Amino acid sequence: MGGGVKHSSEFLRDTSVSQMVERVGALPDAPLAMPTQRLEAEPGARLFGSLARLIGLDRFRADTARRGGN
Amino acid sequence: MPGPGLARAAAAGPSTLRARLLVLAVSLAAAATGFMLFLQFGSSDGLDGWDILRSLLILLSTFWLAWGAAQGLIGLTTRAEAPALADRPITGKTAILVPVYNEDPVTTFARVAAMDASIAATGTQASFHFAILSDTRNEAVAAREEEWFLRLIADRQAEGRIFYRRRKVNTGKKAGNIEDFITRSGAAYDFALILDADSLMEGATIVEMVRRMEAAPDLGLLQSLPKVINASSRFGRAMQFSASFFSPVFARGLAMMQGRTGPFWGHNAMVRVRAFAESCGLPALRGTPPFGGHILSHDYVEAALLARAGWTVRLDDDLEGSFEEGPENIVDHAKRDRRWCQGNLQHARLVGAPGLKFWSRWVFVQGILAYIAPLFWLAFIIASVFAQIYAPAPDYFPDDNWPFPVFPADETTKAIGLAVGIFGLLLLPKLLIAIDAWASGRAQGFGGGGRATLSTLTELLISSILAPILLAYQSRSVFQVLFGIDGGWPTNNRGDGTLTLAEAWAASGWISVIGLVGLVCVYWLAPGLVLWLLPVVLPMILAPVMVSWSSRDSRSGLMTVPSELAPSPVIGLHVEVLRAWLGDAARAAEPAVAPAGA
Repeated sequence: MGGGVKHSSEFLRDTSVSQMVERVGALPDAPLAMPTQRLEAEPGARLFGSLARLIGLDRFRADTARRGGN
Repeated sequence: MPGPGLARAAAAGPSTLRARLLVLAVSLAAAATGFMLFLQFGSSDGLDGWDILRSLLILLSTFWLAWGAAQGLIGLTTRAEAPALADRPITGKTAILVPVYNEDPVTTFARVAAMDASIAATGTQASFHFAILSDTRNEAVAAREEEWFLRLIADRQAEGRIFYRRRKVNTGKKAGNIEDFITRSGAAYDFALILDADSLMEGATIVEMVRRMEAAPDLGLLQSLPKVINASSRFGRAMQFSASFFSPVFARGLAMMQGRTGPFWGHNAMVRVRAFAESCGLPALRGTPPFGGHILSHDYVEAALLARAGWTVRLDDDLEGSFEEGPENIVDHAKRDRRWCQGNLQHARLVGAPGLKFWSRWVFVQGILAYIAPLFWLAFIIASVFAQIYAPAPDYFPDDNWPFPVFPADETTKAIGLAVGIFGLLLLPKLLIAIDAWASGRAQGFGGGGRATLSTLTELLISSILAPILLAYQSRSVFQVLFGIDGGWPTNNRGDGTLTLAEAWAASGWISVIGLVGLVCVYWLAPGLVLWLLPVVLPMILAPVMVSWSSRDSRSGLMTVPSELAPSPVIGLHVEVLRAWLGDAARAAEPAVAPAGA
């Protein structure tokens, strides 16, 4: 056969192996949420927080801490 | 998230604080001493900017060396102890995760078979599933993975216990691979044992880890200390010996300092699935690699996130029966190290992340320093050359009213004393560990006190000679990262790692050239420094020879480790499975022999 072209029997064998693996090896279906964690402050929030602290606006400071913390 | 009571458990206890303060005190004292000694040495011909710069570099470098040395020394002050647990059967369900990426499936799946058999021997097989999580991109390897998975299932009668999933797109690399499993199947399990493709663990050890997780509801992650096995080359065996002989003591010191904000090294560790799922979803960082994009060294970040959420992350260095394989030559080590370098430097983006524990932030800084520290030494050498070039001529008549010459004080003894001190920081912990091993009987596992001591001296010699070569690779990695050259994830090359001289030259000839050029420049510009620099430039010039030599099999019989003298049963199981499978594969590959007369 030409280079890179599978023989039909090879194709069938590969397909059946893959199908068997998919059937036998399938992971349990038990989803669990994994929310993305915050590791960086948004640039706007950083600047906003700095300005807020500068002019002593505590309620904005608390809000920034809540968004940046766990 | 653990409740408020458990959240308090994540704070550092008094013994942890004492260990940290002691190591900090020793490191600061050593750094200050080095700084003052060098300042006095440098000011013998008049204090200038080069002397101050070099003194500061000595301060930083000595602090870093002393930090590592002190960690080893405090590790000698206690022994690892297993926690006292009630002897009751485990109840939790555990998934053993085996992420693979273009690995040899025969060797990897044989490990799964061996671990499955080892767990079966404990009578707890029903509590464990294996999940082989493939991110393999090579279609030929993927096809072999499928064939050998079916062989694994048949041999272990493991349908419904061992699973296989290959991702179409390997988003987020290994961290994304694990996350994909958790989001698909995590709710079915209480715990997950995260392995690497070359990890091997005793069934009894895995069961013990589950027992410890069940006994401590605040425990989010339990890290074991894997020992390197199956090394055959001189380089590989030196790393293997170091991992078995020295690392447990350094890990003991580390555990004392880290307390409940312990490490995660990405494998041979067990996590509480819900804690991990709630806390460890990693974002892609803004910007492009190497500092942006997916987080490469995700394990350190996941440990920090678990601690942030109030979970305990603990290193139990008493656990035996945890193994991995290492690179057999310097080049493979350097390739792996390149990835770690990029991952660690990327953590600079996260040192200021909101809500992290102080120790987690310090761990990021330590990881960065581990790769930046060689640059302090490089800067010191360059500054020393310039200091010699710009050194003022001695002034023998500094006082116009004094007619007799005044000769500058010779402070060479201070420089020698400083050099001895620095070498002491490098060598003393290892020598003390050898003495302790002899006195405590631990050396029996390494062939006895005499052999263990010889092995220690051999390892010290090999690591001292190879250090400048490894530091050259590390420095190059740092420059590549800082200049934005993304190293990505090269496939680990596990297996025979012998390098010919030509291959070694291709990989390390640049180090030879830099060493030779450096030596010529120093001889020309600052000949007084040549002798001081020889221990660094000679190994560099000989880099291809050393790289090739160290990649060859060791026949000395030294650097024996317990896994060779009294192998753990799971290692034997792995060998048995591998022999059976490879034998069958060889027979299957043999051409059919036509009967005589046909």
